[in-house]
Amino acid sequence: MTSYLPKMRGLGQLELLGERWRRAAFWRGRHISVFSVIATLLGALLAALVVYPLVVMCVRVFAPDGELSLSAFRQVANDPAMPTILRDTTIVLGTSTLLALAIGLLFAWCNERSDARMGWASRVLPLTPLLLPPIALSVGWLFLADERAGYLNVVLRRLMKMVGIERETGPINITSWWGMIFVYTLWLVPFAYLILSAALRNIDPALEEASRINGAGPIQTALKVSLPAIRPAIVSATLSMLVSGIAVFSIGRTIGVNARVRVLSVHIVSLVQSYPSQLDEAVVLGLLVLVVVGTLWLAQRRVSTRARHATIGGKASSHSIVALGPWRWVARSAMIVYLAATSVLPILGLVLVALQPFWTPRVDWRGLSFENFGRLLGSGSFARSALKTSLTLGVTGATAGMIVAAIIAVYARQGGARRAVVVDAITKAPGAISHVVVGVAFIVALAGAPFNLHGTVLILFLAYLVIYMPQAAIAAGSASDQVGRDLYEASVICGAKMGRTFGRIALPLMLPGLAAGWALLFVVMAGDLTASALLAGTKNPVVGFVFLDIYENGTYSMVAAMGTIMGLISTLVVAIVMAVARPRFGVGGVLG
Amino acid sequence: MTAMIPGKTSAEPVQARASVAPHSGATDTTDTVGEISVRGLKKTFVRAGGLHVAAVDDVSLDVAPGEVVVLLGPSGCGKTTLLRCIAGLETPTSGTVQISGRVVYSGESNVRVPPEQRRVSMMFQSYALWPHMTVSENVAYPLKAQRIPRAERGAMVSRALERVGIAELADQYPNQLSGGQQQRVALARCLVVRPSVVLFDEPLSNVDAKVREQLRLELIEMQRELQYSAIYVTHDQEEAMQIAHRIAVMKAGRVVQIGTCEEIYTTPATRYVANFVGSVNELPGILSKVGSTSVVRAAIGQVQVASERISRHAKSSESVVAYIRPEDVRLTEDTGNPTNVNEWVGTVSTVMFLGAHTEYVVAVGGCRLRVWDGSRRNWKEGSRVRVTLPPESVGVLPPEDLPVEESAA
Repeated sequence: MTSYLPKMRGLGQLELLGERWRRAAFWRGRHISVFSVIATLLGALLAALVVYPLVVMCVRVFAPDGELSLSAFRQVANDPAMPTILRDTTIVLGTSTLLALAIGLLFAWCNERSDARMGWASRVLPLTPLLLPPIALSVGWLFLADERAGYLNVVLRRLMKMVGIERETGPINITSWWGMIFVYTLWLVPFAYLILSAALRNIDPALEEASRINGAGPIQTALKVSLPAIRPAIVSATLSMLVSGIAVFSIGRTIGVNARVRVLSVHIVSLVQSYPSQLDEAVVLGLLVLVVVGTLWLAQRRVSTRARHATIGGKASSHSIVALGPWRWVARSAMIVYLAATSVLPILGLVLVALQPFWTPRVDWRGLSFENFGRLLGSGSFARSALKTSLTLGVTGATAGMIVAAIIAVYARQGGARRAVVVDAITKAPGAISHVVVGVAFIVALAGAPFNLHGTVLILFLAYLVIYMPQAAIAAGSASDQVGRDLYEASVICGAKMGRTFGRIALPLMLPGLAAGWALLFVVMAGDLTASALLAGTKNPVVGFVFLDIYENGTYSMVAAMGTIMGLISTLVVAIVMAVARPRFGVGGVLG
Repeated sequence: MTAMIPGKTSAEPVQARASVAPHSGATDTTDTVGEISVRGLKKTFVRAGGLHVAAVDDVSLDVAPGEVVVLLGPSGCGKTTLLRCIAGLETPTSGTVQISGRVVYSGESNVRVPPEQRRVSMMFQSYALWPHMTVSENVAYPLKAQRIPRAERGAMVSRALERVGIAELADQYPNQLSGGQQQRVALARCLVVRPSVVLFDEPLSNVDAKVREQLRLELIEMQRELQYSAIYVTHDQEEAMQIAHRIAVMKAGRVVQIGTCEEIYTTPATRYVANFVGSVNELPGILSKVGSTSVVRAAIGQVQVASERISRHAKSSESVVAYIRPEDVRLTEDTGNPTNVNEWVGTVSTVMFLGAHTEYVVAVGGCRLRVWDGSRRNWKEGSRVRVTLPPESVGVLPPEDLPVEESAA
């Protein structure tokens, strides 16, 4: 056929090309369904949204004038602040990760393997970062444990006075190294707990029973049998905490600034926001984070793939539950104290400050009023429009994100193993990229010409979609995994096209899991701080942006009011969705 | 043996190789194809580590209109994979699949009709009822998917539900039903579109024994009435015998023998088939000729066999295995030294009363024979009996299971 080609002219040649295209091996005999076209397009679009900004960002740094240049690297290397920042970040992250791992492990073991188990606690524990966004958590603790005006300190000082010790400040100082590590740890524990409790739940109780029967005590069994059995999960939890911890920005921006502890994520944002903006230096640091996190992430993937083979199915039976005796109440109190420290206490701090005209340790109980809320949300106020934008972004972003994730998850399951790997890579890759890096890449690639998305709601929407797609994909994937494969196949055999199978079978059955994922997405999107700090402005203000703005330029009472509103909305949405989206037909939805 | 629809040949000349036993008497299927026609189908999986495993290995199979073919074999023999390849739920590696005269898969000409366009019905092992739909919604689903007008749908659904005897359950949800009822819903969903081809993937393995027996009978009646072609996967040989017009015995991805139940039982092609379908007493020995009669020199002595029961692959003066089914062995009163051929005196070592018959284990020389005797003569353990192996009941097979290539005609 090729030999005729040169003789062909005009239309004939076109026809021949068309014919060749049709007969190309890939298409021959394949029936392309609308659903798979849509799924493929969505996947491609998502991949483009991840890859394009990163590539543009790299080009900008390495070859600003079309020539390879390393000046930005030199700038970073010569930055006198760099060694301190790297050291501080390592200390804070390393210490808090280790502490959170120990606490998470203890809580997971108590809830899964001992009679200290509390059903509601095990359900709520992984959700705490959603009930209270990290910014509200850290500001709440600032109000509680500030050296002078912290309410907890006031109470403690009063107690100490009773035993004769008098002091003006302390005893706790949250704006310190230890305070910083404390809040990081509080925030990181659920990430460890989620992974470790699932692993402990899945190990075959026979392993532990065998150990007990062979004469080992409960503690020895836990250390010698249970722990080694979940070693892959421990590694996985550690890495997942490091990945989340390196990205978190709000703790460093609030407590860290006051404690003079400088973390990398805060530094990158301040580089972008400085005047004149030092974008290239920020990009180099972003790449550094990308490389570190990417390496960790790859390591985690290797471990967790092996972990799948290592864990053995089997329901925990009542036999393997360890009776803790009096320690049972110690364990339970510890969990309750933790839950209070991550939710009730900081919210109390926030509410107390929000109801006063200004932050003072001497609360005038009769002077409490909602005035701050009124001023914050008064008609035409900046915060009011930001709240509106954030809620809109939360609803649309979570809906779009979950639909895309659900379509892609179902599509991935229909195909072979290779398709699943590709889909996994596309949807979960952003997880390896720190939010700050995505924000910087979006500024570099999409804010200016030719897209001119600077100051638009759209750029926030797209950035949120990319940043939070891994969470959406995990939720949709687990929702899809809970629907038996033959339920899809039965529909297909009945002659239903993929679109119908998706709409009538997959979607309704996945709904509880998807709703849980939606709640998660809504909360993180509506309360996003990192990407918003970079991409939002006075033209497209969102809650996170306004929060930082008030924190730097407003009063503490206004900050508290804003934090209270954010916490309230998060808690409400999560509670409503969790209550409404209870699985009806025995397929469970777990918030992941 | 079975009616074949007029030859609708595929575009490519398929290399037809009937994977039938040498003496099963199956018709040559070179020119005609059935309602379902599978040619040289192969499905290989790649294991971790790059090892290729053939789950279905070069299988050819025809199912005539109105015929039920059972794929029988132990778990892991590839029978379900074969069924899923025919349904389109798995993509084979090579070969062709034709359904109702239409090529739905061809490795060579790259035809891959997706399952939703193959117009087959399938019953799953797990019922696969959709938990969020009522019984009637479940049954109406295939009609909706095929855009049958609403007006006709209602009548078709209630007719299908009546046919399987669960009309009163129309508004229930599947999780409110018993296993047997769920299975009936699944069957109604299968049959509501009046399919010409139905695939069954071990549909009865999840219900308890009594219900299973009842459903099996209903399945057979339904098939005889509606006359669809069916492929039925099971590992239960008794179920296979009841349901099948023909049985295809599978091993390691291959069809080792295909034939009617009687053919499979009375003239198994290999020792594997003989042992998998029913029980056998095996007597390894050397095949030889004594005058005009064939004998197997076994540990028990000389066993005379009818020449028509000797497999073509059992070679003279080489080692073979003579076999006899337990119900073919005859036990009589011991009256002194036996003089007739194939007669020995043995001792009853175990007696098991099983209702329909009694199973005896009889020690003859160094051999132990299983005997099923329905005569109710009730020999006691330790009593001496005369054992007769009628020559026409003794078959002779080669000692090894030959690969299919060599056993094909």
